[in-house]
Amino acid sequence: MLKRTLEDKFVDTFNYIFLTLILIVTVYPFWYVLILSFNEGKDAALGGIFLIPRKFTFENYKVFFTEPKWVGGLKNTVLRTVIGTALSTGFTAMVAYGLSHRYIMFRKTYFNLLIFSMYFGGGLIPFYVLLRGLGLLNSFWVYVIPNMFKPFMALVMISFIREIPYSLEESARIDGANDFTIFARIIVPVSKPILATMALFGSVAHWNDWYSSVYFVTRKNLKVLAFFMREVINQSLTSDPTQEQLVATYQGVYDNIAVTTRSMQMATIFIAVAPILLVYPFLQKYFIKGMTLGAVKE
Amino acid sequence: MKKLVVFLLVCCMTMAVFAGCSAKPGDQPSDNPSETQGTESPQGTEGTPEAAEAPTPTPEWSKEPITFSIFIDHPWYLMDSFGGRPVDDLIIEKTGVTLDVTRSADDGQLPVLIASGDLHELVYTANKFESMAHAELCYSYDELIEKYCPEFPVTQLEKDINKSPDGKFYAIRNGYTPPEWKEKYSYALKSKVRSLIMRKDIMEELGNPPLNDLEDLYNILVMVRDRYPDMVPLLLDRYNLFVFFGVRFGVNSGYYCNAYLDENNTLISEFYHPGYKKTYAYLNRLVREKLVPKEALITSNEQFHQLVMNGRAFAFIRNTETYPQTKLTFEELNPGKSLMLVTDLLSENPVWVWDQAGYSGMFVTKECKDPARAIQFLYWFRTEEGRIATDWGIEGVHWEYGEDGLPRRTIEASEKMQTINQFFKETGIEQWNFFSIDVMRDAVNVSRDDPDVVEYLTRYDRIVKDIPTLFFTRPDSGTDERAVFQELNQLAGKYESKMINSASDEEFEKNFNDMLAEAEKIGLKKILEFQNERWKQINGTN
Repeated sequence: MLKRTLEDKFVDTFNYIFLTLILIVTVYPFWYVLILSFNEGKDAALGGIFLIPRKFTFENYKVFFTEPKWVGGLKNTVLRTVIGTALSTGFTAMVAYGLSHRYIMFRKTYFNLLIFSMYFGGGLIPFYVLLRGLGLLNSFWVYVIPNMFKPFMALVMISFIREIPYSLEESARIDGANDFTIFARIIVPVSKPILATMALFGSVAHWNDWYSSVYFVTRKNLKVLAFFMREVINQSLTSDPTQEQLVATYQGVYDNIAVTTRSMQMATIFIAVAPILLVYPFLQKYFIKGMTLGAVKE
Repeated sequence: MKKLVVFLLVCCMTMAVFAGCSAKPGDQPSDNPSETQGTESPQGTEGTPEAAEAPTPTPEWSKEPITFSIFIDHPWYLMDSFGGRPVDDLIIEKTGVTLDVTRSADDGQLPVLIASGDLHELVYTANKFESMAHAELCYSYDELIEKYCPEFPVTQLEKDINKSPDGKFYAIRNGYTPPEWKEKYSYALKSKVRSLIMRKDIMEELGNPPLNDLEDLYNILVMVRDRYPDMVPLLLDRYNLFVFFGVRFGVNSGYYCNAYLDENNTLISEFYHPGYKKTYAYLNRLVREKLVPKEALITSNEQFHQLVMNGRAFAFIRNTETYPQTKLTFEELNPGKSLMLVTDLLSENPVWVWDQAGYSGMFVTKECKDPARAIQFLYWFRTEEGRIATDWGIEGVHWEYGEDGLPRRTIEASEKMQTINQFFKETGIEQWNFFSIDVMRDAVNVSRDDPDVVEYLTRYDRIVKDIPTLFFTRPDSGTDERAVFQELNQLAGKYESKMINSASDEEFEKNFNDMLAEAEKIGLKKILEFQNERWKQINGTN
C-alpha cells in the first residue's frame, strides 16, 4: 500500500473543501426554492428565510393541485415528455441506423443536408407557416412531430453504431433477418447507453419547453407547465416602464392572503424540477458513457 | 460533382438567409403626418362628454350570439378568458358578443401573427399600435363608422391623436383623458402618481421634524441614518427616482417626448433643463451620503417589497394607488408600526407634464368575419352604460352614490379590493374597458376615505400640465430618427447610473458633461429639429 504523503493529504483536504463549496453553491438555490415553497407566501415576502421555513404550510402546493390550469399543464407536460421522448428516440435511432450503412445511395447528400439543418433554419415565421400548412397548430402533435428527429443525436448514434462489429449484423442477415429485425434485435439492445442519453436529453427538452406553447398553441387546455410558469413571471414583468405602474397593482405581493404570486412560483418551480432531479441519478451512468462512446475512435 | 454540391449548398444557404424576410407592401409609414381629415361627430357639440356618450344601441342592431377572437398583446394582463363574471356577462347580455381570448405570453407573438397573416379578429395592443395601423391589416374606424355605425361617438381630438400617416385612424388609444372629461369628473384624483411614504412611528421618535422641502427631507434622512444604522433611509428603484425628483426640480419635459417647451413654444431637450442636472446632483448627494443604497438602480421588486414589509426601509417612493394596500399589509405584519404618506410636494415650483395620449388600442382586423357587428360591439363600450360597467362594475354591487352625490366603491367592494387582482379577476372590472378614460376610472378607485391621499392627489392635480400632443413629436417606429431617439433614451439610462454613483462633485460634472457630449454626437440636435418640425405641424390642431 502506498504511503500518503503530506502533499497528498493537503491536496485531498483542499479538494474536499473546494468541492463542498461548489456543492453548497449549486445545491443551495434548489434548497432555497424548496423552503420558500413550504413557507407561507405573505411571511416569505418579509425575507430573512435562509435554512428552514419560518411558517410551514402546504398551502402553495394545495393551490397548485386544486387549480385546473396547473394540473392540466402538468398532465400535458408528462404526456408530451413520455410520448415525445419515446418517438424522438426511436425515430432518430432508426434514421441513424439507416445512415450508418456505408453502401446506402446518396449517403453524402443525406449527411450534408443533416449538417446543414443543424446550422441553418428558416426562422420562426417560416416555421409557423409550415406548421400551419401541416395542420399542426393548436394540436398536441405540434409538441411531438417537429421534435421527432434530432440531427446532432443522429450523428452521435451513427458513430456509435459504426463501432458495433459488422459481424453481428452479417450473421443475423445470414440467418434471414431483415433490416428492421437487425435494428430491433441487435442494434437497440447494444445501444442502450446512447439511447438512454438521447432519452435524457429529449425528456429534459420536452419538460422545459415553453416556446411551442407560446407561439404554436392557443388552446388553453393544451398549454404545458413551463408555459404557465412563464406566465407567472410575465405577470410581474413588463417591457414598457410605463406599464410598471399597472403591473405593481396586479403583482399580488400586497395581497392580503397567505399565498402570493411568488410563493406559487416557488412551488411550481419545484414541481417542475423534481422529476428531472429524481430521474437523472439513475441515467447518469448512461449519460456519461453515451457522450463519449460515439466520439472515441480506435 | 463536388463543385455542383457546393454550388447548391451556397444557393440553399442564401435562400435560407432570406427565408424569414417578407416585407408587406406599405409597411413603412411615411414621415410626414398628413392633414387632418375627419368627419364631424353626429351628436352633440364637438368635444363635449355628451358627444362622447351616446344612447344604448338601437334595437335594429343584432344581438344574435356571436363570438369574436381577440388577441390581447399584454403578457401581464389579468384576463385570459371571458365569461362567468358579472361584467363579462353584462357585456354578453347587452351586445350578444362573446370573446374568445388569447393573451400573449411573449412580446414576439404578435409580430409572428402579423407576418404569417394569422391575426385574430380583434387585436388589443400598445407596443405594436403603429405596426397594426395599416389598411392591409385592419379596417379603419373611419370606414367602419361610415358604413355600419354612424352613431359611433368620436371627437375630432381623438381622431387627430390616433390618426396614422395615411390620415385614417385604426384604433382609439385607451386611457387618455380629454379636457372635457376632466371637467366632468373634476372630483376624480389622478391615482398613478408617485408619492413619498414614510414610517410614521420613526418620525414621531425623531420628534416630527419639519418636512417642507427637499433639504428638510435630506436632513431627516441623515438623522435616520445616524440613529438607525440598520435601516435604509430612503428606498428607491430605477422607475421612481427620476420621475419623483424631476417633478420637484421643475423638469417640465414630457415623459414620452423627453423634451420641454420653452417660452417661445420651442422644444428643448430635457438634458438642457437646469432641473435635470439638479435632480441627478441631489440623487448623487443622497447616494454619497449613504442615504440611498448604491444598488437603487438594480433593486428588484421583490427586494423592494421585502425591505418595506420587514420594516427596514424608513422611506420609499411608490405609486399612490398602492398606498392603502401597502399600509394595511405593513401594519398587519408589523404591529405597533405604521406608515404615513407625505402630502407636501416638497417644492416651490413642482410641475409634471403629462404627454400621454393613451396606450392600448383595439383594432378590427381584416380577419374579422363581421366587421359591422364588431364596430357596433365596440360602440357599446363608448356609451355611458358601457363605460360605467367596464370601469366601475354593477351599481349597488360594486359601486354606489355616496352621501356627497359622488360615485364610490361599496363597502363590500372596498374590502375585496384589498386583494385587488382577485377582485378584478372575479368581477371583470377594468379588464374590458377598451376605451377607458383614466379620470373616470379614478373617480371610484381612489378612496376619498384617506384624507392624506385626497390632500396629496389634490395638490398634485394642480401641478399637472396635460399636453398629449407632445407624444406625437416622437419619431415614428421603424424610422432612422426613431433609432436615434431610442439610442438617446438608452444613453440617459447608461449615464444615470454613473451620475448617481459619482464619488465627488467633480466626477459628477464630468459624467454629466460626457453625457451631453455623447448625446450631441449621437444626434440630439437633429432629433430636436425633427421634433420641433413635428410640433409645428401638429400645433395648429392642438
